Amino acid sequence: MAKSTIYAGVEIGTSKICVVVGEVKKDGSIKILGVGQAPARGIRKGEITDFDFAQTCLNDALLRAEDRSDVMIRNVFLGVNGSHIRSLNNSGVYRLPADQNTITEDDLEDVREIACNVDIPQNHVFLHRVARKYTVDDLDNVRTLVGRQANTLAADFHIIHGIRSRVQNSIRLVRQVPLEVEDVVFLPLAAAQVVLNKEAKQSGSLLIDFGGGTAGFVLYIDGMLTASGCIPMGGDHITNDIALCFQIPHARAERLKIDEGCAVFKDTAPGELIRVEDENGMGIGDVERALLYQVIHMRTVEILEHVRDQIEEHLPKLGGGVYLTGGVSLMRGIETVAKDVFGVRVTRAGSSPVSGVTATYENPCYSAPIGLIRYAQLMDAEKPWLSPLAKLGRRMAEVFGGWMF
Amino acid sequence: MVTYDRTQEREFAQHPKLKICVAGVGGAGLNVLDRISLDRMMESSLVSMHTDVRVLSQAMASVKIQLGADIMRGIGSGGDPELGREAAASSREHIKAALQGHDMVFICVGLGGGTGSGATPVVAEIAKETGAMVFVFATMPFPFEGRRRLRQAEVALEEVQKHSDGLILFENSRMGELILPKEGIQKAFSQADQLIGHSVRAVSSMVAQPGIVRISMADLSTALRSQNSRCLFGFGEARGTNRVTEALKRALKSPLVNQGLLLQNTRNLLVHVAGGEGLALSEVEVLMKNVGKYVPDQTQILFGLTVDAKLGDTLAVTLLSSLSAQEMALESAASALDRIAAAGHTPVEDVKSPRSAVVDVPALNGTGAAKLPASKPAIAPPPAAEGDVLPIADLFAPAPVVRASAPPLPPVAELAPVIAPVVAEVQMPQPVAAPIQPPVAIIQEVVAPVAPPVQPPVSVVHEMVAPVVHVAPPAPIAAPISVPVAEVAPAPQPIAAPLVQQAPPEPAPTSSVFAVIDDDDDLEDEEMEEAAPWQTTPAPIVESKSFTASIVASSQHVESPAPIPNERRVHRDEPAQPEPHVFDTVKANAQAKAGPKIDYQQASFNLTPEEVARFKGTEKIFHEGDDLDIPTWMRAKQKLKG
Repeated sequence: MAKSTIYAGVEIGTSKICVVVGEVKKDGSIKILGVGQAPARGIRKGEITDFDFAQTCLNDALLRAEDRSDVMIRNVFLGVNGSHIRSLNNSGVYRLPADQNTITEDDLEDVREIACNVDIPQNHVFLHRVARKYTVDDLDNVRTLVGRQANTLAADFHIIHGIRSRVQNSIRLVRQVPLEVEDVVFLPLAAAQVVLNKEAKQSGSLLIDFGGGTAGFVLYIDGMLTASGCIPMGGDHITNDIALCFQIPHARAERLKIDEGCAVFKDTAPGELIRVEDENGMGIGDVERALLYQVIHMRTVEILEHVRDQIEEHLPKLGGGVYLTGGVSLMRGIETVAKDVFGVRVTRAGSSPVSGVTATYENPCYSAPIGLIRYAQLMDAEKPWLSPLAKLGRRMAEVFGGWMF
Repeated sequence: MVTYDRTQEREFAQHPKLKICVAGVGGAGLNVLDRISLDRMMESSLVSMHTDVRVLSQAMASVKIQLGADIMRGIGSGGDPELGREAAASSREHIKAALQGHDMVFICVGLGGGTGSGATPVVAEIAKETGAMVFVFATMPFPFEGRRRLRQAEVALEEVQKHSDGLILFENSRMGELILPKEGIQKAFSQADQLIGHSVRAVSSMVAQPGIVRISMADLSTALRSQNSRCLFGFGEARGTNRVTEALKRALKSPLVNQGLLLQNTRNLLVHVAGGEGLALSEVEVLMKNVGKYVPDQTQILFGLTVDAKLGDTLAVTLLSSLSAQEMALESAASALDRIAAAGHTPVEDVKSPRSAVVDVPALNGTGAAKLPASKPAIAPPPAAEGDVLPIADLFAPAPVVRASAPPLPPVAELAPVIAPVVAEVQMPQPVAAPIQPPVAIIQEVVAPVAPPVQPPVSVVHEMVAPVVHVAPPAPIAAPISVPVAEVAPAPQPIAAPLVQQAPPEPAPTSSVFAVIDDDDDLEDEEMEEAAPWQTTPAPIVESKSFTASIVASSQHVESPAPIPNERRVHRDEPAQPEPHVFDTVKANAQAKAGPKIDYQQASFNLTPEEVARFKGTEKIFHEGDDLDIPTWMRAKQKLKG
């Protein structure tokens, strides 16, 4: 990278819609230029239910982000989420032609194609194909491949896919703004780019992006992406439980959860009451603290257990422990609960330090959108550098080549 | 002095040119033919045959034959192979006239439909009669087209095999691998047609063109020889510096060879290399060395070489071999399993189901019990598996109460799970060709004399389901079973009932429950479908006082020594079948009727709709029967209560 580039990431979350503008400097460091945020409406469990509401919110967030960063946003990296997203690992073996014994670019291309050739349901679309490792003649984890002497070349890939129509809905929402979507990114994967450092990935870590509507997770073992997925439950469910238990409006319940909520209920004295007021300060009821904690506790445990069920087999390999990020990870006592559920070290983490608007990067709410910027940077680093002319050519090809995806 | 150029290659004796005819039968066959004529791939006469005159009129072939012009009146066969067969038979003269005088006849056909499956055996037979060498290029239907079509295709395949010198089979499911799954369907089909067209051309040019090392008809039939064989075919063309490896790579990329994996079991492999004048010996050497890596040592490699100036810089490699269907199935099942295992999820199960169908058919024929006319599966319900379960399943519907009150017999559950055990249990006195007759006739024959129920069944009831056709099970299973059945059958029925099946009524609940559980299992589904005619036809014939009104027509309640068959069934009880489940359901039904626990059910019913409040209208998430949108505390409370 010879120059600095500005990227924008859009997260369409259940509780908030967030647009982050970041600059990747020449030396590769990221500076966050601005964050625009709007409370989300019309989105449940990470998926858009009401298009118009969501549209308005996205516009708000975008305007704020443009305002603060003083950047006009054209292209964005879009984060997607939702229970429809599945993942799997697949490996492919390629035998080199007999008259050739060094690996070439073409062979790499072939083995990638073989490894990525998996059956996904008809209505699904590939989101990510992440190379886990390459094996050359039974030698694991080979990094430099081209030019190496070999007979067989095997590639192991982690493939993430989701329902095409739902992913397209998110894209449509963004396109209507209008913005151009450069890439679609599975949000927890983006979050992992900034929350987990190399060491954490190497020693085996589970990142849980505990958001409003979903709890997404990605699991790294030995530095390789090993599992990922999404549980369609999140903070919204906790709020809903509270609202139903105490018969209070949803907005009050949300407030109550953030102000008073705690996921551990063991040490609370029974009988302590919290007064719940409506907008005018009129009391609309009393809530018993112990009961509130218990309601939160039960749901939190349930969600985490669902995550645990999905990665049960890898649990013993979690040397680096569990990293909690996302809005719900701000909840008091959640690390205790997570420790009970997973039985390993639990860390609450936001994004690793980046420069810029200092208030944002430490907040775990923003780790996923900041991760989008980092992801964009990584993607661009992988691409060969193109002259502006070539870029233009490619763009033209895109325009005339029909609508991709 | 005139110098004689000694380096000049001697001229080939002018063989009379081989006359080749390519015939397309049915819709798919015509498509291939169109592709061949569009690409001007070969010099041959093209003959298209179809029952449907509209389709035929759009075909590009020079000779068109409307099959069964007088009996079909230009309307297609509508998926009925029997019609297709008759149509072809009635146009026998036309076909003969068109095929006469050719040395080789290639028949392109898509099996599974009416015209394709029905007419092709006839056409092949006629072609054989004219003295030509007959090659059939057939495509098998996609798995999603249903088991019925697949079965039709299998039956037709067997017929065709008798009359052809070589059968080259393409499986549509494999064709899918030709292109990326995302690409347009049109492209997929045209690619498939193209592949077939290529193979037709390759086979014909291989034999017809003069070559340095010629491949004769004999070689060709050696390569394709083996009973019930499936053809392995790969064709690759390349030019440029690396053309040898490229061409071979492309040939091996053909889905029919499966990356060369399938070549590991072949006995004969035909390799034909064609190149321009620049073809070097070293290239051929390298190529053959590479080919040798994919086949075992004992494989006989039949090698052919043609130098054709027309090819210019291009090098073309054709691989041709055959593998018996079983080996093929094994190979692909293994690879499919690998893929499933690798994918980590199971929805690809249908890969296996067609296989079982393939196995079924010959097994049935072997016993001689069910001699289905090959093309008749549409009319005569496929034997064994279908017949018996469905009346039983039906039994449940009208009279659940009775079933619930009957003592739950442990053996019964076993009937439901898989069809296989059911089939095994049934023993036919002698092999009868009954299924060919319309079911009604049999029923009259059997049921009429026994019509008055011998005893009103109280607890254990045995039914004789007459029309159900059963195949004698494979020997080892049959042996132990035949004894009790023999005891049962003659006792109440002095009249020779040709087909007797015994099944206590309790299978009903189980099988029906199972049908629900296994809804996605297409095997079961199809049974239900095929059940329809059986249920309806017999109904009017017999009037009965028994409670199982809807099936009495085809069944008979007879008191019989229950314990014997029961024990037998218990023995072969399969593990992991949800019997307890079944009885739970039955019990629950009974309890619900009796009414002591009504309040509990009411409570649970109330909970769902409003309590998900905020998540109303979103996609539900269920986990082990819990709706996860309902607050956890509420579910916990409910569980405590329950």
